[in-house]
Amino acid sequence: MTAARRTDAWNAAILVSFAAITVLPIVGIVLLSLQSGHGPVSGFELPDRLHFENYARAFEAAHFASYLKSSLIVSSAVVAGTVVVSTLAGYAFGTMRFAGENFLFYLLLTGLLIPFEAVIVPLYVELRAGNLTNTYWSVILPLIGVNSAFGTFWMRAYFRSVPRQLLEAGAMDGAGSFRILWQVLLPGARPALLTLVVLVFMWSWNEFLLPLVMLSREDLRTAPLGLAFFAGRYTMDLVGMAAAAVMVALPVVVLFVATHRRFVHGMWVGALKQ
Amino acid sequence: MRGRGRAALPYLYLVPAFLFFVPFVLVPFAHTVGLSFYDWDGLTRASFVGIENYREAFGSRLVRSAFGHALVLILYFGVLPVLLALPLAVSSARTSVPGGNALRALIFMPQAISTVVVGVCWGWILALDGPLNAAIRALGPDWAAVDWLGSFTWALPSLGIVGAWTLLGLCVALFFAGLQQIPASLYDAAAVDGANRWREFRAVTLPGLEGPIAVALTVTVISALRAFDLVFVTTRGGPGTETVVPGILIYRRAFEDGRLGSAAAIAVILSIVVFAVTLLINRIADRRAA
Amino acid sequence: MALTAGSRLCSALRGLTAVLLVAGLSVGCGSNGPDDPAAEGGRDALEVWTPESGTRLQLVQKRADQFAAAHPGVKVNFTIRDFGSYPAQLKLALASDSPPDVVIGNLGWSLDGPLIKAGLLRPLDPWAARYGWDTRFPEVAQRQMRFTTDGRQFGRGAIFGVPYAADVIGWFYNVDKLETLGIGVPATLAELETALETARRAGEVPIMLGNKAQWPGLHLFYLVSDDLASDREVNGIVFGDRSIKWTEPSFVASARKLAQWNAKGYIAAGSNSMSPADALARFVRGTGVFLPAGSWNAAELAAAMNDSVAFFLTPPVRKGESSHATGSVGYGWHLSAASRQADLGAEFIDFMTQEAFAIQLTAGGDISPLPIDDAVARAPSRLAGEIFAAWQGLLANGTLRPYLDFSAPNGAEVLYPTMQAIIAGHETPERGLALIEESREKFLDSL
Repeated sequence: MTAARRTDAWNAAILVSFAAITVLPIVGIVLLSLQSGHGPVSGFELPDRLHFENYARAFEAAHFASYLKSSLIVSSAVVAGTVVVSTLAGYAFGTMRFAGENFLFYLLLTGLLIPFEAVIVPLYVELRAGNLTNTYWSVILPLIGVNSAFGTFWMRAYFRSVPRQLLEAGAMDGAGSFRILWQVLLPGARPALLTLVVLVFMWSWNEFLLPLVMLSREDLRTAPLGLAFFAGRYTMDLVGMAAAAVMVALPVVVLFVATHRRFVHGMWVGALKQ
Repeated sequence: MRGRGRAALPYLYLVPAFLFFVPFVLVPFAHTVGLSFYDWDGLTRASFVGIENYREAFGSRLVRSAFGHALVLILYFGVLPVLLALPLAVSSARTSVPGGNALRALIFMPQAISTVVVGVCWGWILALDGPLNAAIRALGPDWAAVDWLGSFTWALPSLGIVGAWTLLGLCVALFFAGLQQIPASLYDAAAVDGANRWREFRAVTLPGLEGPIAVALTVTVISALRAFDLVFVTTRGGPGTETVVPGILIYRRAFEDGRLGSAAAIAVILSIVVFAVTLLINRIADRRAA
Repeated sequence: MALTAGSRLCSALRGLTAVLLVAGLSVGCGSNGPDDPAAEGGRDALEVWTPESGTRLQLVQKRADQFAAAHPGVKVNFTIRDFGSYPAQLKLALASDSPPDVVIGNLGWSLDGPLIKAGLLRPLDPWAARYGWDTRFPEVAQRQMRFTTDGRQFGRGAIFGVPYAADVIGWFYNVDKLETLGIGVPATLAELETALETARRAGEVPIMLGNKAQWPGLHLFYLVSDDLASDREVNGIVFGDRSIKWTEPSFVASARKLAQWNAKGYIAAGSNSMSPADALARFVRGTGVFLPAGSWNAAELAAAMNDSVAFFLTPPVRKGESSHATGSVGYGWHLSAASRQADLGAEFIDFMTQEAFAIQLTAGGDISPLPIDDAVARAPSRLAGEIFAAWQGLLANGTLRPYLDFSAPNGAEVLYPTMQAIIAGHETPERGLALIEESREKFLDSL
């Protein structure tokens, strides 16, 4: 084996082993979720057969249909809202010159730094006063607010990378700024938009603190919340808990796997534009 | 007329974003700052107490140790993944194994999983009779099979490792992207100079990755400072107060103890720390890039 | 560029509108407006909140069903939360714009005090007079039902809670294991410690404890202080007597004993990451000789272990003396201040706390704050019978003392973690108790 080949193999081995180590806990919990649940389960054992009834049980006992529905509603709304407002704002920051643009941009950027814990208390009080707690709005609206900071940052980077000629050509054709956005720029923005959609979906699906505080009604709870309470009440049903955990993680993982090549590409492209 | 309309146009595009950002992020933050000077149980009337909440926070053993624990977590969440991700990204850039993308995606996967799931998963792995201890006992030293999340010594480091596991993939992703940016000509020049792997790393790779390293450190350090979800789902701050972090204190004081002013003060201190650390990291990165 | 642009624009806009509409509609369907307080009820639905679980929850719900049957048109909707998150969730719910009507609280400062101070609970004196709540319960219980309306003093003032069940903390034990080890039921504290040592030597887990929640360690403390500290000292701490402190020698001795027990290996390894429910499940499956726990676990234990499980209160220091035990008249029914159905709620509360329910409760293996005639009492298992007998004795002798964590709110901040640290040897008893006393004094100063 040549030296180059050896290096190649060595590097491949490192990568594969780290991937394996990273994935091991996840594999473990999936295996656990398919065990029979009788008798102690202390290792990564292969189950005697696939006990899918654990999933059915977790689904029933823990009202997971309702939790998953809530999560879906919230995440979809947040994604829709964030993408729209971020694209508009990013377009302005990325292609136009105007007074105060730096100040406004940095203001928006501080939103990335403000820890949610610092905002949650008055947010709760505000929303309670507006009779919005225990509604999906109490989670959707703040999440759009927070995610639009990142979203704008992201879309601005994309719009900045667009060649000036394209914009100028559109302007010369007499197109208004919105038409330029819609017809000229958006088609090419698909990778950036896809990445944004995946990231925002992921972040809003996994959001824990905000729904914990805002939603005390059972029928509105989101999936991570449902899992936390389920795990709190059914502590000895380890396999059921594992099944519930897998169900909560599955949608994002599926989305991620389905889009990973485009998503990864979008992330590299986006990261490079900084 | 047209010129005037034109001038307002950019601002119109900004309105939707700010329509969400201002009332749901900026205004509450301003309120938090204001609230930190009051004593309020969230239900009856608030009373102004000046800097009393801050004085209590700085004097409180518990608050100080919460921030201390956050600093420890910074080492595990930030420094550790960055150190591990550097050689990993370099390795993976050097190899042309098929499915490299897929492998990197796998390493990124923990980021996509809800922290509640992460907590449930690792809670099982680290249990006294869980798989990790089973493996340790199989390999030999029974005395090393400890109650990881229940140990006064090991609970915080254990959570740190979990955090490192979650963030490793993100750092690898960032560094891998950054590596693509480094012009091949620099590597060629180093090879011509007869540099070995290590010197090449120090002279070309590392400087080229300073941007991504700064981003990685920023993101991971902020994760460490916040760290509410993971602690809440695994140890809730125990055993004793060994894993109490500022986020836990804020939640507990605001929503369980009815001390919203005190919670706000801690939140403000946390925000200042986050801002300061972010500024520091990026200032150092800028200076080195110059 | 201009050719298909128009059509593309139209279809894209249509798509976007559809998405937003769907999102908007589904959001609208999920939320409740402010004019629709009871989700599934209508006007005569009582919203009730409880942290109960297991058999006691079943008994409560069965009794509630009887109430609904006797009142056609009335529905009782239960919201159940786990004990750990209950205080936080309850506060949020009571302060929300769709508050529950009747809630179960926890007496003293651990939960009720702050709620009363915030005006979230309604004083029950008018209904107490009508239904006779102020005379129904024994003296020991009466004190725990009261709070001044300004929320400052516990143990006197108006009646805020009506108790329906009682708890006492004691030692459950595995009968078979004790027999195998050749030990009899300990009659003194010294005999108990010998039993622990014997168990350990034989390779058993002497004390099965799930201290992840941090308060079970405090329950273990109660079991020791039952012997080493006096009623006067415990009552002093609970009811706010400043001349008594946590640093009394008797409390220090109790804490030290716990640390010693842990150091000697009497307490289960891994107790700090085991939840109380886990510990119970393990005990049922055969790990552990003794399980220090509250009597509310009796039904579950009896169902799982039948006659293999039994119960005793902490044995006295000297043989023959009567046992002191820590317990309370447990959770009380409260009316939320904002309830629009106060009279119906009060009627419900009365129904849930009558002797009929006390008898049902005892038949279900639980204990009630109302002493019951032995002739009428029908405990369903040997275990329940033992607990019932011990409890009646406590009521008769007046040797029941309240939970020490009733003395202040925020037990989770200092009291529970420090006790856990003392047991683990991570903190000395003197220093730990001094810290606890410091936090208690800060609280008393703030009243």
